[in-house]
Formats: sequence, structure tokens, C-alpha cells
Amino acid sequence: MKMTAMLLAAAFCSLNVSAAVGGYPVVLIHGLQPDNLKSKPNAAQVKVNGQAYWQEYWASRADLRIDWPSQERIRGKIASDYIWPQLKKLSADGTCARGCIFVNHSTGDLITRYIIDNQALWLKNAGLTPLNIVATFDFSGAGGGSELADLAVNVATGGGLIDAALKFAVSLWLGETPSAANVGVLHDLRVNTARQLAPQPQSKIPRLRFVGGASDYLGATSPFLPGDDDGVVAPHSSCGASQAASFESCSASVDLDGKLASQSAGVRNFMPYHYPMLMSDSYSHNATIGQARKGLVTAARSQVNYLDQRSLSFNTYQENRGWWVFSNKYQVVTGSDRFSMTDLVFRAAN
Amino acid sequence: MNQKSWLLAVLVALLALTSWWLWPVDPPTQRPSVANQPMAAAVTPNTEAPAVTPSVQPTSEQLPQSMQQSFSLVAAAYADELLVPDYVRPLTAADSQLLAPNQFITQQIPLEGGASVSIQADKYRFSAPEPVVVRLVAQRIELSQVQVLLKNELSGELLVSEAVAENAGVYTATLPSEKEWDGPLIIEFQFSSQGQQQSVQTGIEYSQPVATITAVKSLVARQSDMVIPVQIKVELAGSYRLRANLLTAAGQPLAQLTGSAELATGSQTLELKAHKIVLQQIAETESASEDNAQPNHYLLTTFQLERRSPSPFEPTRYGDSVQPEFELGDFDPAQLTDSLPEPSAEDLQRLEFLQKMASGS
Repeated sequence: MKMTAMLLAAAFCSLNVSAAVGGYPVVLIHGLQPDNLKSKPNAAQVKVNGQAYWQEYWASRADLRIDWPSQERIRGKIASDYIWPQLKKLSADGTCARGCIFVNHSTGDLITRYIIDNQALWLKNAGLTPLNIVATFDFSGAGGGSELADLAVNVATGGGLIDAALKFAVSLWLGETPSAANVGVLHDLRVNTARQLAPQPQSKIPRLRFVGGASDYLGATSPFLPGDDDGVVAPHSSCGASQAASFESCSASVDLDGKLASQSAGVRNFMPYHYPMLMSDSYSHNATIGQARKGLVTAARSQVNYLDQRSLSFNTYQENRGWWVFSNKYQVVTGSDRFSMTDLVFRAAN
Repeated sequence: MNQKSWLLAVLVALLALTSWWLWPVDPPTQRPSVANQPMAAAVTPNTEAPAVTPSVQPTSEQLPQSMQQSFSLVAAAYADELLVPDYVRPLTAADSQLLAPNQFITQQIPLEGGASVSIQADKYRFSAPEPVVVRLVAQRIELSQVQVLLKNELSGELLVSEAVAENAGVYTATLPSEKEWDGPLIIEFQFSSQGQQQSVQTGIEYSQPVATITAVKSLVARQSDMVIPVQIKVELAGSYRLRANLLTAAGQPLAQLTGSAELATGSQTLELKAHKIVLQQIAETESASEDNAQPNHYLLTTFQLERRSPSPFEPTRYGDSVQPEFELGDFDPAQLTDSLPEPSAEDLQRLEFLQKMASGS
């Protein structure tokens, strides 16, 4: 009870006014909150949940949050009752007048894209000044949808023939087996629907992608996600690939674990202005925004041009063995042996 | 030593040699901290990292890259994007999403016993008066009593329900257009198998067009742009955005063009522009080709006409075109001036942000 009261107070009090990334105010947009599908929180509880979602790291580093309930649809009440009031506030307060950074996680990536495509016209039509969004930081982005959402909708509305392993995976992800009455934003997260929602904003806002490749569900969800997934979304989504296909990395020359090698299943074409920055096979979907360090992180773009395949055949002389052997090389982001992925990003920007 | 013992000894020796060769070395995550860390000054020393000296020379090495270097690479890539104006996006054959923006992505739905079904559709967004054509494909399972249902996704209202027959393992439903279909719809297939009822579903959209592309007028040269005036019959006034792909006469993708304008009802014109940069690029490519008959002949296709959402309470509406592509005729890019596009102040600010991150300041 005491904790709830504290969270409620924190949710309604103003956020850290000195928060900034690269000198710009920060706006947070969270991802899917599966328990919402059943609990159907009201507006006050949505704010409490939003504060709790970012509590571990970003809450104290942001100026404003756009909180939304997962039982609703993006183009419905999420837009009209939750996004719109905050967009008007951001404009009226001038928070983004000189520029601001949107930091999002998971489905927040899809909502951010919807905002980028619509905010200028909506605000202009309302007699308000459009927001100047300088960049977005997209952690475990679900802008390309999740195959799990398609399957969860079918588990919820289907029947007795659905594969038991799939039902188990969906129940692990959502905390319970969904029913037809509580699907909500999962409709928007289906791959087709997500990729058709504001698919190509004209604004050239750089979308910086931070991608994980571990699973919180002991790999139970992975058979239903193409490529090297993070337990909830596939790389085609988190990397920002232009195509929904099976990918093992966001790069053509760096594997998700940092190994420098030609990636036949690496993403080569991206959605406009989407730039994968960091990848790690140690971070799961939710761990990418956490305080806890999970392992080494690699850069999706390499300083060295490894497209020349000869340079990937590194030879190393091993004294103890007395001959030359092939050596694998791993690209590692400096500091990732000490800091979490999200901490690396914030530290680099400040 | 008899022959059997000798062979055994050789095998043991080979096994020992193989084991030594394949003995695992430290995984990359257990390497000591990397050297030459450009970011080190910005962070506190790591007191937790074990100072372990490996007993053997590693067969994996770490190459450090700082966050600043990563931002620097993104900044460079972003700077390249600013070399072309907002209204033009160069296209290649690899840009599958931009070349087929309305494609439907099929997904398998796993069933018990290794069986699966999938729903297929020719496109994601259908436009009146075309029928909705969808298919149910089953793998390793016999289906019976297959029905297709069409529902309004937002209200759940049932719009169509009819039986579907099988043909070569595929259940194809062709649903003629109805005027009340507008917006997101659910396609649901219901069937029986192994004594159980099952339904599977997916989402599509249906659009009652609010504007129609009727023609493309003659091309105009304006400074560095080839201007394409597109004639549109507007039924519902609003803020419109038109995207279309510019192709060579041979069908080679050249650029995606975007134009926006406030359009009143009636016959209106919305201009698309192709900057000389992209026209020149293809002209150079094609001039190198020996069998190039029409070097400056273009096609306009893949239309995406949107009446943009004017407020959070009103959805985006869509238009259509009387024909899927228009021939644009001949146009010589040499008549265009060579001025470079000017990035907007906001885009320059975005580039400055990335460069600031790259400099670590």
C-alpha cells in the first residue's frame, strides 16, 4: 500500500526538470504492459504503471512520459485519450521548442512512429506549434510488429487445435493465456498491422536502434519468432529492417555477439532513417532498458571496413601451440564490461 | 605388438591430438577488459572486473569501438541522407518495402501434431470496388466445414459469413465489395478437424476511396526538378500526401517521390518532383548500357494516396488510381540546373546532435 502511494505520488509529480540527453529534454514512451489486458487500468493507474515501467533507469532522467493502456488500440483511445493530451502539453509548455529526444521501448517504438507521422499536422490544425523531435532512442523496438502478437490473437480467439508449445509460450510472455475479450494493442502489434501503421513518416528524424538477443522465457518463445530474437520481437523489428524476414544480426558484417564475420542473414535494408547502433546477445527484450549489466555489447556499425572478406580471416600465432591458427575477432563497445546497454547510451550522450 | 594393438595405439594418439586441438578456449565474454578505451575518461574505473591473465593465447580477440565512434558512423550515414531532398528517396531493387508497400505478410499458425495453417491475401489494404480475395492453406491436416467470416475489427460486427470450397488443398474466398466496409477488418476462417472446431484470423484493411488519381499531365522542368503534375479527383477535402515510384521505361526502380498539399473537392493537381540527382544517376547507369533505346523515358507507379489524419479523432483515409501506372514520356535531365538540395534547419540540427554525440562533448 505504501509502495503504491509512493508510486502514485511519483507518477503525478513533475519529472526531473534538468533531465537531458545531449542537452535536449527527454520524452519516454513505454511498451506493452501485458497485465493491462486483464486489469484494464484507468487513466490514473496508467500513470502509475508508466512511472513503474521506467523506474529502474530512465524515470529520473526524463522530462515527460507518454503513458498508455495496453487494452486499447493505438489509432483509438491510445491516440485520443493518452497521446494527444501529452502532445498538446509538450507543445504548450515549449518542451520540444528547441528540440527533444524521444526514448521508447518495445511497442513504444511503434507509437513513436505514429506520433512522428502525425504530430505536426495534428498540432498545426489545433493552432499549436509542432514538436521539434531531434532523434529517438529505440530500445527493443517493436515497430515492425511481433509474430507473437499474431499468434497470441489466434490463441485468444482460436480453439483446441492450437499447438500446446505455442499456448505455453504466449502464456509465458503475457502472464496468462489471453481471451478474445482482452487482446487490445496486440492487434496493432501483429506484423502486417504494425508495418502498415504510419509506415513511412516524411520527417527525417534519426531512429537509433538498441537491440538485444537473449530471452527472458528460457527460449520458449523463440521458435515462433524468426531469426535471433530477444524473446518478444525478431530482429526485423528491433533492427528496423525494411522487410519482415529472418535475420540473425542488424549488420552485414557483425554478429549479434560482436563476432566480425560476414552475416548472410544480416539486415541490409532498413526502414527510412533507422540506424542500428548497439547489439548484444546478452540482453533480453526488457533488459535493454535496465540498470543491470548483462554482458558485452557490440556496435552494429563497425569503424573498420570488414566488407573485404580477406580481412575477416584473422591469423593469430599461438606460442604455446607453436603454429598459426585462425582467430575470431569480436567487436566490443568500450565500457560495456562495466555498464548496462542503456547506461552506455545515456553516458555517451551526457 | 600385434596389428590390433597398433591400431588402438594410433586411435588413442589421434583422439588425444584432436582433444587438445578442440579443447575450448575462453569465450569472448571472459576476456580481460579491452585496451585503448577512448571512452575511459568519461567513466569510472571498473573495480569489479577480474584482473585475470589468460594462461593460453586466446583464439578470440576483442576490438574495442567507443560509443563516440558508433555515433560518428551514424552521423556520417545520416549526412548522406541529407544529400537528397525530402521529396525524393532513391530506390533500388532491394527496397522491397518501398517497391511493394501494400504487401501482405503471411504467417504460419502452428497446430497440434506438427500441422499448421496460414491465411494468405494478395495485399493488406483493399480498395473499393475490388473484392477481398483471401486463402486458407493447410499443411499436414485435413479440414472440413471451412467457413470464412469478415468482421469489423473495431466493433466486432459480422459482415460476411460463407462456406468455402477446397481446390488443390487451398480454400479460396472471394468476397464482393460492400459499401459499409471501411477501415480495419478481421478475416477469420473457421473449420473442423479431428472432431474439434478451430478458427484462425488475421487483419486487413478495406478502403472506400476519398480521392482518385485520374491522369498525369506533361512533365515540366523547374530548376533542378522534373515536375510531375498529377491530376486528382477529390471527394473529401483535406491534407493529402501522395507517394509514387519513378521507374525507367525498362522497369528499373529510380526513386520514390512524395508530394503533399491541401486539396479542396473537385479536380485538383498535386505535384511530384524528381531532383536531377536521381535522374542523373540513372542516366549515367543507362548510358553505359549498349541496348539502351529510351534513356530518358519514365514510368510512374505504386501510388499511395492518403488523406492524412487531421486529428487523433479522425483516421487516415486513402485514395486510388484509375490505372496502376502512367507513362511519363521523354524528359532530358540535362535541361535541369545543378543546384544542390538545402537541408532544413531541423535536419541540420539533427545532424549536429549526432555529431555532438560523436565528439563526446
